[in-house]
Amino acid sequence: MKKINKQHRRDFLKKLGYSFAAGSAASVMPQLNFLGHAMAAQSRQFTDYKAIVRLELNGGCDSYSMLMPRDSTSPGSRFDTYFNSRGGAYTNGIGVGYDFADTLPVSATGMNAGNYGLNPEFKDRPHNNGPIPTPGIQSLYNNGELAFLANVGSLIEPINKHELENELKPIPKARFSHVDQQFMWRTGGSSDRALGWGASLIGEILDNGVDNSIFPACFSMVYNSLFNDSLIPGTSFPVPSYTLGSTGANQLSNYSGTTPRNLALNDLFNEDSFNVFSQEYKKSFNQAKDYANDINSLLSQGAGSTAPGDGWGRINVPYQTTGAFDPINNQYPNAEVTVEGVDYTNTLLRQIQTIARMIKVSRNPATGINAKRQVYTITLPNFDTHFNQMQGNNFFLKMASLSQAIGYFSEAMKEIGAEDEVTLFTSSDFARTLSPNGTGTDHAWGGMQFVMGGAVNGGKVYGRYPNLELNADNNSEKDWSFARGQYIPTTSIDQMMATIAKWMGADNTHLDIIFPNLGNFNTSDLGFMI
Amino acid sequence: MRQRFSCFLFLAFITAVHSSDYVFENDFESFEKPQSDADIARFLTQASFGPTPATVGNFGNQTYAEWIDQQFSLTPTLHRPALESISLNRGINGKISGEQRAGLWNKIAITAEDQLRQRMAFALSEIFVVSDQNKFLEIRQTLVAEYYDLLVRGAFGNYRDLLEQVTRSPAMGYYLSHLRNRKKELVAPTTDTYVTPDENFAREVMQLFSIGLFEVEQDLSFIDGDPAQSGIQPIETYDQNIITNLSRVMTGFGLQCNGPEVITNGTVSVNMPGRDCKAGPETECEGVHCNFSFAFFGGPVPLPNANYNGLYHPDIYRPMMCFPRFHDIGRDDNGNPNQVRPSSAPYAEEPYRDKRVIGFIPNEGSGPLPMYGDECNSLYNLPSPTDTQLQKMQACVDYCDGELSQVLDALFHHPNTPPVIARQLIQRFVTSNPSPAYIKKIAGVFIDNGSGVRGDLGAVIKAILLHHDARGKRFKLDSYFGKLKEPMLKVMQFYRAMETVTSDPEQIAWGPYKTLNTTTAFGQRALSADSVFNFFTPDYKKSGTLSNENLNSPEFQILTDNTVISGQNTFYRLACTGYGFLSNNPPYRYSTCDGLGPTLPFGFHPPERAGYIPEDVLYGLPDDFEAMVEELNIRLLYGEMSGTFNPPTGMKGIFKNRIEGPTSGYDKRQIALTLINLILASPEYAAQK
Repeated sequence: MKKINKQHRRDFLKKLGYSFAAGSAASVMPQLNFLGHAMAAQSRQFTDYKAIVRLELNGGCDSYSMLMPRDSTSPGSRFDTYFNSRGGAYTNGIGVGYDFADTLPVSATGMNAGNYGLNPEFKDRPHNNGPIPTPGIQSLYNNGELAFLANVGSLIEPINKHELENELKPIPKARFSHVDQQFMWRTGGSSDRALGWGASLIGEILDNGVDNSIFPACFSMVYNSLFNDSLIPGTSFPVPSYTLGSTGANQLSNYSGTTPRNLALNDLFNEDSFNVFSQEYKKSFNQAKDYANDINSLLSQGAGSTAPGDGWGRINVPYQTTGAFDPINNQYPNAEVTVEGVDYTNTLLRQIQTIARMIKVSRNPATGINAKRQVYTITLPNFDTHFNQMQGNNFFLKMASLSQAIGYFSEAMKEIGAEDEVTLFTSSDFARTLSPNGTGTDHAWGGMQFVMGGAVNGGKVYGRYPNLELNADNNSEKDWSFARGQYIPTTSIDQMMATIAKWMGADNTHLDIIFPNLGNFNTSDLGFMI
Repeated sequence: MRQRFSCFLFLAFITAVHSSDYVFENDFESFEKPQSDADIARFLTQASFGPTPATVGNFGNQTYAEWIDQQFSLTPTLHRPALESISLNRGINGKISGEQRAGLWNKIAITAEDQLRQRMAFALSEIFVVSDQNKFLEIRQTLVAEYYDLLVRGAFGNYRDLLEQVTRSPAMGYYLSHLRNRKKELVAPTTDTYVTPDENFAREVMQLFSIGLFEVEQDLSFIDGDPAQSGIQPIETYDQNIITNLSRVMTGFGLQCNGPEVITNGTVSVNMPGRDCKAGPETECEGVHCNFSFAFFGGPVPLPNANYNGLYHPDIYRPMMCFPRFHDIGRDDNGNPNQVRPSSAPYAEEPYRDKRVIGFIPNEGSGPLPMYGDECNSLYNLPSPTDTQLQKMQACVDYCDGELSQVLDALFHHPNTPPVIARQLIQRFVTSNPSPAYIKKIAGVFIDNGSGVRGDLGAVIKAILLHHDARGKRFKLDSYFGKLKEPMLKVMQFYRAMETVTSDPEQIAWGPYKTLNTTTAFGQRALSADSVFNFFTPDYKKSGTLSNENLNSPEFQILTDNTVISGQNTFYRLACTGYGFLSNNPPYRYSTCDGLGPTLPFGFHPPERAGYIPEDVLYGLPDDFEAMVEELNIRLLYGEMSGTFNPPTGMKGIFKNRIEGPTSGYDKRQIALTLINLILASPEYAAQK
């Protein structure tokens, strides 16, 4: 097995010490700062491994379809309120609610005590090749590995409806805009810092954000993510991060060996460019090329060559749904889409398998990586279900692939003994309106998230589960919504993320830097991490 | 934003002058005409999908402005008819996939004469975003192509017209779900379930297609909402109420219903059945009667046996029309939301509140309109309306159309729209970080094209390309000028510069798609972004130098650790396609630019599918090594390749050292391909200065 030695680490640091744009005075000082920082005493050395996996449900997940009240169907019950706000069940052609009997029963004790229903797709699923079903979110919750957080959203400080309507307190800008709300979740809640909190966390708790590894400590799947963009403290150098492909790192081919062409290519990418965009392209290429070699050499051999749980063959989700809907008044003669018998490929599962492999090699002493802290971010896209939410837009398939991928990941982490070391959590732009707009839902504000892992104090619902009324205004229950059920969050993004960051090893000083508005809230630890 | 120069001396100089534009405006050189082939090539890199030897050679003694005017006059090359024609010629089952549409897009980008128009359409497609990643559009690729044609046709027209066409486009209707959007009402009298207008389009038409999120000056700097506070406090241009009200305006739009039609393309014609357009025994309606039919809920019937993704009844391409039965005409917000405004109720008064959009009420001040309130509801779906009823129907339609028109006017005349649109167009054509003065100048042209016309996109693009920042020497002095080339431009530029061809009849028809999936290789394909926020956002800042300097670099958003590598691997393949060492004959070994020594002869065999550089082009390059590099320098780098051959410095020096000597005696084609591959892969080709 290839062992990565200290020389690699030094090479890696050299990679970080980018040569800078010719004559650019601005980048000279940071270079010096960086070197100073790199030589500073290593004040923090972790001996254990921990990682967080942030799962972004991109587009604004209708998260009140993940966890719903399920007390009783009698008028005035919490379920009844929910069901009315959602316009009934989708079988009426308009509604976006789930029938009482269709949701999967779970219960919560303590805060938010009561009976709840989970999305019907959160059930256990058989897999193609093996007797043990993949646990669904229902099982993970019942097993105490998964906790929900209710009504989380972007806030600057706690605010009620009266204060909001009279502009008595600051609120985040552009609350219902995708990119702006994604910005909040990626940067650390409600701050104006254009720095990703994942990379900031790594930058704060690890020296130079590179740990003891040849790897960057921050990874995103497929998309570049602001979550992984930050600066090494005291420098203007980015915390190193890497964007993985679905199944690993793309490696340079067709340019190897010592042909004149390849030698010239090497020279071209050692030369500084006058134009900053050329120069930055050069950096991108060099980083990608070097990391890809390192990552692939590890993933292609021994410990990394198989994902935990490989051979279970659980990529495809054969799925059946009911046929075309038949709306009231029979006014939809041509149903737009009927999804029947789709053999749906769960790309989320495939991508999360790659993360499982990365974790497997990163914490395995035999590979010599010896990573101590890592952050991962992965995206499940297309949650912007304005239209045909319950049918053509395949919200149910997203819920199914989400549940299946999470269940797989839980099993995979147990298989490698990392279940207490890795915590997965969701984030999403915003929740969606409780009331439907015809066949879909629009942008709202506070919503549900969940956290999963062995270190999670699970089987509970944290925060304040709202009453799910339209136009609620109840100060004693802190229950405030607008005409279509857009809920004012009662827990801030900062509080949720700070609780996770603290588990990763951030102290109060770090937290105040990463989440500048944290002090506006009554607690920075919501208690869901053990 | 302060100006940035790579050279400290320059920085000091510029700071003293304060406005860099002063420097360039007083530059004694004229930028009206190109001074060299390099000037032409650089201009055409901005203004087209890349220069070709022919477009450079034929530029002649024109001014830049004359070239642009000439481009304005060319007949638009349309995508949908070409796509339909291929499908028709393949028979009734001719499927059309997204890759095929994209392949045709490639072909048009590479070969069409109306380059500036196509380039503008592409830029507009990254502002008014529609994507075939949408489930409904994925299976309606001709509709996606038609949407592109809308942008092609409107590329030099008026922004206001384009905005309305985009708004009424069924493709946009599917994409942002305002197609069949309904006013708030009970789903059925027997239920207590309401439908509520979908807010999707209402939000994005403001945020992305016109005014943006915050109030800005004409140079795009934020207007400070609270000067007493430190820092700039941006003012939001709209709030949730405005979105909700605009979503009410955007109700009642559905597809037209025109009965059976024949579509013809060349010698082939196909009967397209109509759908039911009205109540009663006859299915066809006429005039305003159609606006009151239940056809609101339907859509064109796909051809029988056509596998749902080939050809469509043309109703699917026509502008959406208003079905007043489903259009919000005011309602009782307090009592019974299902009660529409009765004919007798005063307009815009409680309780039948009308919409207030961006600080104005459509029709405010003109008093009650000749409206028929609840009759717009009750005239629905009559088998044989009377003349009086038809008149009332027309009034209802006029109200609906008029309301949309006024909202679009409001967005058009909002002070934000000129700088917001100007900045994005400058970014697509010239530079990621235009100076405030550049933005302001172009916003000014948007406001008035010189003849008092607002929104003249032809004048806007002309001003962008003729601006002294685009044409002058700024790019030689300012290291932050320019942009990363987005993948589609990078690839198309190569295809054009090296005069690639294909011998495959399929590819001649469809374009070189079979071997080039640009999504896989580069993460981009025309009209296939991940969301309405495009492939990248205008304010994306690559982490590090660029973000530290607060510089935008939109195209870097899709340059990931993976696409930067797959892109490089692909450039090798693109350059070398068709060429390689001939081993046993056959099979051949293809796609290698590298030498294996004299043991195997270097050769060429036309590949079955991919586009390739013809042998003639390679043989036609100069024999002399340095002259060959210089020729490629003009073709691919508008003469801006860095360094010198003697002494060997920069890129030229690298070629001199690494290629000339070691490949001496090699087949000329091989040396040329090696150089082409290296230029495509180089950091210098990656950026457009």
